[in-house]
Parts: sequence; C-alpha cells; structure tokens
Amino acid sequence: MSIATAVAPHLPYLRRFARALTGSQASGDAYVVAVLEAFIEDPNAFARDLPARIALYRAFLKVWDSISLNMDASDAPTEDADSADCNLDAITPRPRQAFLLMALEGFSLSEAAQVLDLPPQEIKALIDQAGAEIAEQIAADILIIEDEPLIAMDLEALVTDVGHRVLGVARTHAEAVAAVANRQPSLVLADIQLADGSSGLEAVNEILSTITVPVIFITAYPERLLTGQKPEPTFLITKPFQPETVKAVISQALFFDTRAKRSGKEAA
Amino acid sequence: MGSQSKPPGQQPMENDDREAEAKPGARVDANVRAHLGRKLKTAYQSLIEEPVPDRFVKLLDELRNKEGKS
Repeated sequence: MSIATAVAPHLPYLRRFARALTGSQASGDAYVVAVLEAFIEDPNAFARDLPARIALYRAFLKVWDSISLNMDASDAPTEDADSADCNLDAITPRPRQAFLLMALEGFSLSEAAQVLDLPPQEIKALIDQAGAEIAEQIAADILIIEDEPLIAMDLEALVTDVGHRVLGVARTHAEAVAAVANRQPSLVLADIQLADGSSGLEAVNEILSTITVPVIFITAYPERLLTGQKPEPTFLITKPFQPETVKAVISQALFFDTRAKRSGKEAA
Repeated sequence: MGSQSKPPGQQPMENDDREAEAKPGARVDANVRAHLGRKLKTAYQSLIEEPVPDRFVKLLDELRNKEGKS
C-alpha cells in the first residue's frame, strides 16, 4: 500500500492532534503540511514497519520537535471550539504530547511509547507529569454552598484532595452571597435546596450578577434546574454523587474555563 | 476560640470557619484525564467531520505520484 493511501484516513485525526498540540488550527495544519512534504521529499521518513497511524504520528512529532514553523497561536484567528487551547499550551511539550496521544487520540500506553519512540515507563512518567501540571494549572479557590454538614465535609475533603482550596462553606443563600463579597471564588459548588428554605439556585443567580464564575450544581432534584433561563454554562451532578464524577466535572469546568487566563494574556 | 479548633498554618477567616487548604502534590488521575480527553474530542468533533482541505488532498496526490515513479 502506498504511504498516501495508508495515511489518508488518519489525516483528520492528525489535524485534531496538531491543533490541540499547537493551540491553533493554522499552526497545527502547517505542521501536518510539513510532515506530508517530508514524506514526498523522503518516503523513508515514514516507518513502514509500524502500523500506519503510529508511523504517521511519529513522523509528525519528529517534525514538530525539529522545526519551529513560527506560527504563534496568538497570530492566528482563534476559532470558537478552542477554549481548552490556552490550558493545553501551559503543559510542558513532552507531557502534553503523551497526554493528548492517550486521552484525545486514544493510543494505548504501548502505542504512545511507539509514537514517541520512548520506553513505556517513560510514557507513564510523562502522563503523571501532565496530570500534575494540569492539577496545578486548574487549582481553584472553591466556594461550597451546601447545608448538609456531612456532604459539605465530603466535598471539602474531595476537592482539597485534588489540589483545590475551599474558601468557605455557605449553608444559606445569605451566607453564600456574603462569602463571595468577602473573597471571590474561582469555582462554585452549589446545592439547590438549602437549610433555611432558601434556594442555592437563587443564591448562584445573585452571585452571577456580580462576578463571572463557573458553577457546578449538586442536587437530588435535577429537574428543578431545568428552568430554561440559565445564561451561564453550568454543570449538574445528581445526588447521591460518585466522588470520581465530582472530581471529573470540577476538572472539566476549570480546564475549559479560560476567561481569567485569557484576559491575563490579552493584558500582557 | 479554642486552641484546638484550627490546625496550625491555617489562616483565620472573617465569617468563615471552614476554609480548607489544598493538599500539595495533587495530580489529576487517569479517570479525570480520560474525562478531559472525551470533552476535548467533543470540542474538536467538527474538525473530524469536515472534509480535509484541498491542500492536503493535493499533497497526498503528489506523494502518490512520487511513490508511483520510484
């Protein structure tokens, strides 16, 4: 089979990988073009002894490592789907590659090892480093709005365990609003039904009228959220919750929330 | 306020007796990494669905021709 025929079905995925790795479609595509030009120049740049997809990604990363195409992501027009690009950019290149190969592109550890031409234990170390860098990057000051003490304690233990700080636990609408006035959280975890009969939803709406912050609702009554009038993108977890679900959704909310970092970049 | 009520090093907060510091050395685990990967996939879905731009098709043709000659 010709190289062209072997790699053609994988090009859309390589463009995705390149986009995620470089932070912009223009820059990513420039590298994909460069790798195809490298094959035209020298077909031996394609490792025929490897599965085509692995050989293609390996050649791509060799190109990416060896040349700088001088297409700064900030020069390229930014498209809408790239809210994570800023956060990905901040991960050290090698760990970023390993993380994206496995989490985004679905390569197994041993396949990623072949792509990066490294022993599997080094891939494991790179993935761990990516995990640590992501945790550090998304570390947040969290306000918990929850009236049930045991659940509040569970949530507190869970979020501090993954590197976040709890600014406070509010049990009522009034406490929540007062807490935000005191210190601005970077994430809010909110129950809907609060101790004094007040509503976590109304508390959050009041908070969102003064600050912009991602909100995750944790509720036994998800239907009460379906009012169809939430302007802010919110997240919903149903009680009783799995700790793993809460961790995943918190990470998602913060990883894809680049407003603070964006404005910082623009100011620079 | 009792001396045992706060661990050392924790900052006292006005109106807030429940501040909790992050544990050091945290990292997102395999479950969270996989979750972020799925969300990234969703974010880039349109890229997978759109046709590959012409310049890539041309380069593939060029590569095919070159291979045919050698």
